Amino acid sequence: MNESHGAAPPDARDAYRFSFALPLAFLSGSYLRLALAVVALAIAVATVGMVDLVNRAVLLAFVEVAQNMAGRASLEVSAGDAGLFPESVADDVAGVPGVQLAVPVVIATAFTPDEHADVLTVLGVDLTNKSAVRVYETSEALLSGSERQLAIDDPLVFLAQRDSIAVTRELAERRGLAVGESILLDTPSGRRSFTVRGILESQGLARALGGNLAVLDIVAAEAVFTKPGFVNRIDIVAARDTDPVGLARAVDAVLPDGIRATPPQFRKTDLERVIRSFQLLLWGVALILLVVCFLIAFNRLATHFEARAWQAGTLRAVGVRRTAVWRELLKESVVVGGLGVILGLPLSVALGRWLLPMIANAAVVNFKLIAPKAELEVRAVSLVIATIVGLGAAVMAAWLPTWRAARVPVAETMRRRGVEQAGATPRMVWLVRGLLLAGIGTTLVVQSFAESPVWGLVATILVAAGTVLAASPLLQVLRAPLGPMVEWLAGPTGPFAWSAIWDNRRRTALTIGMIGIGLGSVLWLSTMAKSLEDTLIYAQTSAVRAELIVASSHVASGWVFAPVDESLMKDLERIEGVAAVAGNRLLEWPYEGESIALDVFDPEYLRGEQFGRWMLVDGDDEQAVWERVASGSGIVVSTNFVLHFKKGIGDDVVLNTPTGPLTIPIVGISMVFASPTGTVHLSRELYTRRWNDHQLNRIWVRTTPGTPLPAVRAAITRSLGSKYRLRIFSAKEMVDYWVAQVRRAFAGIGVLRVLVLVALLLGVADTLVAGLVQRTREIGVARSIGARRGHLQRMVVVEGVVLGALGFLLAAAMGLILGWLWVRMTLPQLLGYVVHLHVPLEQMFLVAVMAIVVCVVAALLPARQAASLAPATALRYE
Amino acid sequence: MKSNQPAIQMVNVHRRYGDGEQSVGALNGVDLSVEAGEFVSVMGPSGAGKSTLLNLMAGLDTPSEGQVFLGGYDLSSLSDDARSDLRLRSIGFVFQTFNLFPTFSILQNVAWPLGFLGVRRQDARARAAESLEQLGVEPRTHARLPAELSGGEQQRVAIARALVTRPSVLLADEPTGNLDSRMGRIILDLLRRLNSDRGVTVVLVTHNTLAATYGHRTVELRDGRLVRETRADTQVGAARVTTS
Repeated sequence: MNESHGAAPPDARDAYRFSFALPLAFLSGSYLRLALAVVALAIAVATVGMVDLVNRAVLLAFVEVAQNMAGRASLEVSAGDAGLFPESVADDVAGVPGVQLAVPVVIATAFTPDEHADVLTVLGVDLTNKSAVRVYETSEALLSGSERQLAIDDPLVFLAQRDSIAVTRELAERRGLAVGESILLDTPSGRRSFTVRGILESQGLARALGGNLAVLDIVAAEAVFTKPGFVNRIDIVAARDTDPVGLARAVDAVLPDGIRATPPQFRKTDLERVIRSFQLLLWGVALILLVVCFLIAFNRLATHFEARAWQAGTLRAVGVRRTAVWRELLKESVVVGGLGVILGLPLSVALGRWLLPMIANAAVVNFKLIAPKAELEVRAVSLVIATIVGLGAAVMAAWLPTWRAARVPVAETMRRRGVEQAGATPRMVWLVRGLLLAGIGTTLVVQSFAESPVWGLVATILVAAGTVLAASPLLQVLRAPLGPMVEWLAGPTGPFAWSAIWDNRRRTALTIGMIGIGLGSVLWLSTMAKSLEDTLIYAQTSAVRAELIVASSHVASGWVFAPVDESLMKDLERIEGVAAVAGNRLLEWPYEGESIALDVFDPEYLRGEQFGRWMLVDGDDEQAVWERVASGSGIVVSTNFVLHFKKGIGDDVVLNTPTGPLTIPIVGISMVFASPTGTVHLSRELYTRRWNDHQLNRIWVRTTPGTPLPAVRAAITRSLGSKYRLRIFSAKEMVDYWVAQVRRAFAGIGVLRVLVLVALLLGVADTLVAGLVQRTREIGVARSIGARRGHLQRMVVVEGVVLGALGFLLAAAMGLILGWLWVRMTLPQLLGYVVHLHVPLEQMFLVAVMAIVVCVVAALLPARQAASLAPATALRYE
Repeated sequence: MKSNQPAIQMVNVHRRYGDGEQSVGALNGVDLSVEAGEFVSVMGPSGAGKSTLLNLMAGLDTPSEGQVFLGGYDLSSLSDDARSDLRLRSIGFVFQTFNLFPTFSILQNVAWPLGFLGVRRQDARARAAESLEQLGVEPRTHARLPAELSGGEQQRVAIARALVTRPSVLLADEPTGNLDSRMGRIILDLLRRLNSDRGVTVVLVTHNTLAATYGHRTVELRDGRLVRETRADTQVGAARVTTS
């Protein structure tokens, strides 16, 4: 006899260790039921992949524009957006050791005066200087040698004729332009006609701008866009092996006050920082959608594994080890996750291509950037991230149910077939809830001290998780009134409806949580948009009191109107019906390493209230404050300027101007949204004196009392329409314009709402169907006793309505909490705007209706299914 | 139910499953009449068509051919809702596997059908308690879940549920199939008392010969056909009803 005490029997289970035979066998016949989980995982994968792809593409596009703007230059000299300085400064810079080339450049914006309204970036460069021109050619063109990017048929004629212009081949083809033909452009000094005498190949900067680039000789460019002898940038090419930092210092030493040499990289870093905050917001939204999809998949997979817990018990009864059971179930979830990934990856690319223009546009609006030609490039790293998310979500979804099944004694698992498995102990669940609450509180405290929006994002995720965990307590709290209400609503099938809701609390809570998060995210974003919009309206309404506001009909970048020459003011004053005018200049300006907005007004605007005035948030006597600004002895700064630069009333601000540093005290604080970093209001008298800039973005117009507004508008259009392409707003239209910009920046909410509703529709329908499958035999019994089809349909619809109503309660709480968090803390840190909280009551009502409608619609198919079950078949259901 | 009509009548009833050559005949030309107040046992081996016969009687299934009358009403001429209503008012169904709802208490399991009759909740619970007591289910168990009762107790609860709507016909599909012999006899005694004391028409499907003797009449099904009929006071005799 072979004594083998203590020897372990051969482990036959090893045969399955690396095989998918068992999982595939278990899954066969369940693919349709698991289709929802696959779809949800696919959406999650697609969302994550899409956001990563788009974020990279957006950043790349804007950075490419910034990089290409400088060509091969390693340093650039500028006095900000609008500062002009003499061209002769380039000669001084050229004399600095280490400078190979110093190229004076005019960079400006022009528009085509037709329905296309193309925004052209104009580059004015000395075309007689071949070295200067080559700075802007691409490496490819330089290396090829034979093919030049800029082809000019007759350089002498080009230079001799001041109306000569070179356009890109792309633009020429788009507009059907040939060499020798004319093109009209709206410039700050009015409408001008140019003759195409050169063609640019679409490479480098031209390509980055989507072909919207034009080149003039620098003399012609100065005449139209700056003034003769004045440029707004000098590009520096360093000699080989020159230290750029040392070179910048050396160049600064020869520059006039107010002008600095900075590496183009600085722009890239600046852009990256600016874009990063936008990317963070996009990730925040994507993560919410990810959580919703995860919950749907989790719910479905949990139901699937729960229904098969007795199978796990059977496996265990036969002798399969707990870890082996867990392993095989996990492999099933990997298969499901894998299917989700296969579907989701191409979907992410398709979604990315579709949404990229919209998201790039939102960035353009928000950060007042030049619109780049953003292209989606499929990168492996994005796809890998999305794959990990998909598989990870599927595995996580399987982990809990298998853990539960493994905890219960085998006999009980089989005996409790059809009954929800016991979950974690109540103590454990409350501990998790407590930890979550503590986590939320901690992140909020840390965020307020660290002033970092990343903590806000962490808090957002914790609040979303808390919403899910609050679903079960909500159900418990409302149990007493809800049970009778359900039974009343559902009639004779009330007990069944309530049983489906209450006796499957985990599934019910997950579904409610999913609805809560999905709709809560819509409410959250709506609260932010509404708060921004209402605060803007509140601020704008007081700032705009003139009857009319005149501006260029072109937009330079983002939402800023293209500048026009101040001579337009004199032209306006001559028009009958115009009583008074006041000019406004709005531009970006560097300050302490960041970019702020200078919002410059004529003293007439600042002194009286007849044109309007920005409301002061803080400041002594308002009249006195604005008088000081009007006289040029003080500035008013915005609330986000105070937040970012930690300055207050009485502190001095030093602004580097083209004529030297300007030290000026803060005398008041206003609420304005011209820049995410901060805005400074100052007098235009002071500004033109120190910046040499006589351009305007808007002109406020007061009309003669009694003169009809339409008549004045018509007179302006008649007199000045041929010279300038103007847009004339009434005060209300101006406010509406700003509101439209805010809505443009939040255009994505509409897309998110649709995605969320689709996800919820699927999720709720799935929960109802799962409940019906579980109760198939019971439904057969009910029908055998005399329940009508209509009774069963009503039962399912009532279940759906209850889920929707409870989900909305959670959504309202989550939306308000996150809305408060983001408006009060995260938005100011992320975008710099300080806004008042406004609750979107209309949206809340709409979301409540949507919740019920979606759940009723989701219930229709399962209700039909329940009604059409053949009683005899249902009775035999195992 | 119409008076002077048999409680249940089946005329040349066929029930086939599947199509064409693949079709299987569960019932093949069955003619059967059950008078009001009668106790009929239906016997036969597995697959004989007993459960199909019961489902057709209850209107849970429709015949491929032939007619089924319940209380004088031709079930095939009624809408699904009308069949449901008839079932609710006229028929009690007892299943082999009890089919009690695992998350409902005993009282809830018995009371819920009354909701479909428009009975108010309190009244329904009172009637359910009464029904349970009549079947010997003690009040202290009314709040328990089915899993906490023995098989016999569960079947008594199932019968209480079937009777709570005061039907005139009770259809029992192998009600003792999952019970031991002692409990099975108790249940069968219960059914006989219901028939004799309350006049409930009982159709009992069973493959247990002892159970078959409880009825006034026993009919035998084989391969979907009625092959024999015997009365309780006769020994094994010739078939009274011939198949077509």
